[in-house]
Amino acid sequence: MPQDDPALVERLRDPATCREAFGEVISRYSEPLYWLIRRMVNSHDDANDLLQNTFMKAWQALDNFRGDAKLSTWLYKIAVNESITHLDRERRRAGVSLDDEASALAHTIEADEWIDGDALSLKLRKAVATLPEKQRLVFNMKYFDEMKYEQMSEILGTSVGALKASYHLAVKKIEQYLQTD
Amino acid sequence: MNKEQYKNSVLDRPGHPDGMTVPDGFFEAFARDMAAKLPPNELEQQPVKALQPPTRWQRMRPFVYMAAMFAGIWCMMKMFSMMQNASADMSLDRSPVLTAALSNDDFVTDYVLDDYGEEQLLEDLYADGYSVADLSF
Repeated sequence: MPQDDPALVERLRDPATCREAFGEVISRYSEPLYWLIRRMVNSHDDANDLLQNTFMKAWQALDNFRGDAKLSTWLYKIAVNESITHLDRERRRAGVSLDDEASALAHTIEADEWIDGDALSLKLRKAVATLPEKQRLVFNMKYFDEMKYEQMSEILGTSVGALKASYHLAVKKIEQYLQTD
Repeated sequence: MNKEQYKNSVLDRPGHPDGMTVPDGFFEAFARDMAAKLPPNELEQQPVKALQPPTRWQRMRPFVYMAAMFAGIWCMMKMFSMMQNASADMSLDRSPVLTAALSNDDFVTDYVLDDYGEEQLLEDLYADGYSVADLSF
């Protein structure tokens, strides 16, 4: 995750320089935010749309960003909300329950054209798709993004202890899936 | 490979690959396109505040505060000085009532020597020729 730059935050809050500074924010954060969203929704096209929504919302709400929270935390929060809202919307649209979501996600994984992994990678993605939404988010942030629990706690509004427990449980479930499937 | 080895081989792979890719140059193109299509936002539409010259009060304020501080110190010193003079005026020599009272033997006997100590009394009696045996308590 890119480090917060106080000078960049200062420029973001200045009407004269905010547009140019936000261009830097997009360059700096588009990749980590994309992977966070993509691992939640699995489809490249959906991730692309949600990433655009994330930056658009951040841009429109820039006036409300006071710099109390870290810029990265603020952007990750928006991206997480966008991902969860999208998954809820998709579930409602397809009439899929939370329990059936794993099979729907597995289908999305197989249908995605932007994939270049071996059988093990595909197996892991399917295993991750079986996790409940929040647990999947925690697992992705920790395992793939190697984020610290403290920052995850700020983004997700959950205690560090609960996040550790959630990650541990997620790993156990994935191990079970890999052993049985 | 048994199941345990297989499980570890998936989760412990270096770099944690998940097989997901993006089109070539996707992030560069995304950043460029995204920055180009940002609409005007509220912050951007706020008028930029021109740097105003300081007002007369803003220029004078440090000097006024400093003058007020010195005036306060002067008042404090004056007050201490007045308190010192007042306590000097209360000395015995300057009070006619106290001078008259202290020149009166009865007043001295009744009020000033009233806290005559027992030990002092015994010493004085002894000096006057009395012995301890003559005293009955």
